[in-house]
Parts: sequence; C-alpha cells; structure tokens
Amino acid sequence: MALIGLAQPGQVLVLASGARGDESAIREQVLTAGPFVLALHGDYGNHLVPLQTLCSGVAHGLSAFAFLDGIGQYFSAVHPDDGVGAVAAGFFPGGNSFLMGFSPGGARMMFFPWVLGGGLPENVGSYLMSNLYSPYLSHQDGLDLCVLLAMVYAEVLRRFGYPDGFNVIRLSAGSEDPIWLDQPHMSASIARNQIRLRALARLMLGVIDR
Amino acid sequence: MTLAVALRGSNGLVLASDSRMTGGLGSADVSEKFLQVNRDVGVMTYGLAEPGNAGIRALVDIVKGDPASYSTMAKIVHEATTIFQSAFWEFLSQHRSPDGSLIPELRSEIVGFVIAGFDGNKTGQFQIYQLEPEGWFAPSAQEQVIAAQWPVAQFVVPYLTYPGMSVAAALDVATLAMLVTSAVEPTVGGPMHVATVTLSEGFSLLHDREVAQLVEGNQHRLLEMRQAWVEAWAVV
Repeated sequence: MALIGLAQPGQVLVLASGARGDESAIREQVLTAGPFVLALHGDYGNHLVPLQTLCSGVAHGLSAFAFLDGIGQYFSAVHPDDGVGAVAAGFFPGGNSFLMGFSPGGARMMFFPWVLGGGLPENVGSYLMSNLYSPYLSHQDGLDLCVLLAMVYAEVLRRFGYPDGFNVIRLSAGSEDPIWLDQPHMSASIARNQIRLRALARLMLGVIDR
Repeated sequence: MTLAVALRGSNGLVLASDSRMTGGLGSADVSEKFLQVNRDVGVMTYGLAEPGNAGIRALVDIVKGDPASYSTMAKIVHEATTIFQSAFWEFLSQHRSPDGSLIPELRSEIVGFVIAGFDGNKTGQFQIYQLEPEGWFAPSAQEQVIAAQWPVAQFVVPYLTYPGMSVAAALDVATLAMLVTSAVEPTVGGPMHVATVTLSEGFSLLHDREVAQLVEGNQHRLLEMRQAWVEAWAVV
C-alpha cells in the first residue's frame, strides 16, 4: 500500500494505491474523520479497526488540533518497532491546509506541499516536484501533479496498479466532507498526463542532440 | 548508497558512479567504487562499501596476478562470483548479533557489482554483467545497469537514450543521470567517477578534469530538461 499526499491553498489530495480492480481494498486504508482524512500505510492491519473507531467518532466542528492530538496519542502508544504509519490531512482553522505524518512512538512531522507513504522513494517525487510544483498551481493542476507522481511511480517502480489501481480523495477548504474523485475525473487526469508525458518524450529527444 | 550506471553505446561502454559513502556517522565523498581489471575490463561496486571494496580489490589482485588464466570475460566473471560471495560472507560473519542474526542496520542493505568490458579473446562483444547477493552473485548479462539508488535515473535515462547512441552521447546521459539523482538524493553525491571501454582505448578512467568538463558541458542540458518539463506540462 502506497500513498501520496499533496496540499495546496484550498485543496488537499490523498492518493492511495490498492489491489487492482478492487475498489474496497483501494479505499480501505483511507479513513474519513468528519472533515479530515487519515491515510494509513505500512503494516496497518492491526490498527485499522481501532483507528476506524477513533475516526468515526470525530465530529464536524472538532478542531484540527484536537483531531491531530487524538491521532498523536494513539501513535504514542504504538510500539516503535511496529511498521504502521499514517498521514492526516485537512485544514486548520483559518483555512491553511495540512499534511501531518505520524510514526509509532508518537513522532510527528508536518509536510508541505507533499508527502509519501508506504516506502515510496522520495527522490523520484523530489525530482518531479522540483520541476513542476508551484504554489500557484490550479486545483486541477494539483490533481494532475498528484496523479502524475503516481503514474511515474507506477512506471518506474511498479508500485501502483495502473491505470485503475489508485484513487484520490479530495478535501476542499470550506466544504464539509472529503470526496472520492469519480472515475471520469481520474481518467481525465490520467489522459492529460499521458499527453504531457508524450510531449516530454518529444522534447527530451532534442536534449542530448544539442 | 550509490548510483551505479553502466550504459551501452554503439562503439563501447560507459561506467559511472558517485563517490559518497554513508553510514551511522554521516557521509564522506571519498569512496573508490571502480577498478580496472585488465586492459579491456572494469569492475564497479555499489551498496555496502566494505564488502564491495574488498570484493573488487580481491578480483583485481587475482586477475593481475595470473592474467593468462583470465583471458576471457567468462573466466573473470566466474572467478568474481566466488570472490564476491566470499567477501560478502566474511562481512556478514563480522556483523552478526550474539544470537547469530544480522544486525538491524544491515538487514535492508545490499552489495552489488558490475563487471563490464570488451571480451576480445572469445566473443568479440562488449559485455555487462551484474552480480547481486539475491542470486548468490550469479552473474546476469545486461544491456545496461542502473543500480542502487536507481529510481530517478531509471525514469530519466530512457528519455535520453536512443538506439545506436555513441559512447560520447552515453557519457552525457550517464552524467545527466548522476547530476539529477544527486540533486534530489542525499546518499548520492561527491565527485563522479567515470570510465569508458572502447576498442581503441580499452578501459579508460576519465581524469578529474575530464569529469569536470562533462559536468560543466551538461549544464545547458540540465536546463533544457527542466524546460522540457515546463513545456510538456503546459501542452494541456
């Protein structure tokens, strides 16, 4: 199970991998908690039910700080050798987006604008983000960048089933519930990125020649 | 870690690696990961530095001590299998916990080797072999190798290579693979080591000044690659 999170002004995206063609397995690791999301990675099997219970008790109106504190307390009690990890996503009061990583023993780290989970090597993401990320990306471009990361990881590492092995849940500032993007949205994003990757191949051809 | 690259050109081979060693005490850019085995063959290591260096040094000593017995690539590679296995086992035996298990820091570490060169006395071919512990260092013949911290280079190299590419072009590709990886991967860095294998020159390690020229001469290509990304993104 691998995941990618991307935060930008007004939008947070969490992209999760799973078994090809099995929608429930794809989405199992991503828990919704009121207006927030908690995405699990690693050996999360033993933690799924307690974290589901914890997340289902999160009410609308709960502050992001209280939500993050609750998740932090849970992970503080997890043995440091446990291979589970999690990324919480949402918005702080005032509208700033967040991606917060949690590790066993209670270690927390704030990420911006992107985070990986599930053992994906960071260098590929760093390479793409260093070329393409801008704080002024539109929300559609943010989605496409998140999907492009997954497409490249799929191509290079075979870590995501492609093209139907990953799904994206979107959190929008000011809206109540995170929403899973439907297949037409995903297909359109993949198609746009395929056009970009074809263009990239064409443009790269000239690089060695000059 | 390392990035180890062996690329095939129409008229020879290119080998490249970085020089960074990383460990519990930090990192240093002093690692020698390449050696010349004979006129036409070189050996490169990646991953764990200690068994890697021990393995390549032992191979070079044995081949240089009796060159007539190692006149073909097959004979060198066969000998290397035993030597690398022995170096790795010795390393493992020195790094075990009292209960016999491998110390945790080493459980996800590997060591690997690339032997590349021109097999003039038997097949008349440029050959690249990769040896890793997963197959008990059984050699596997490869068209090219991108090993250790390979993901970024694995993504970039196919965009830059083309059939019939010359050694000169492959040098640029290897340099670009190294530069883009070291820019985003902290365990890859330091001065590059680069060698070519050609019919006329055999195995030839580039001098520091030649490597510096490669790095400088590819700066415009790095910028063009960045521009290619920006332009490709904007087509939609």
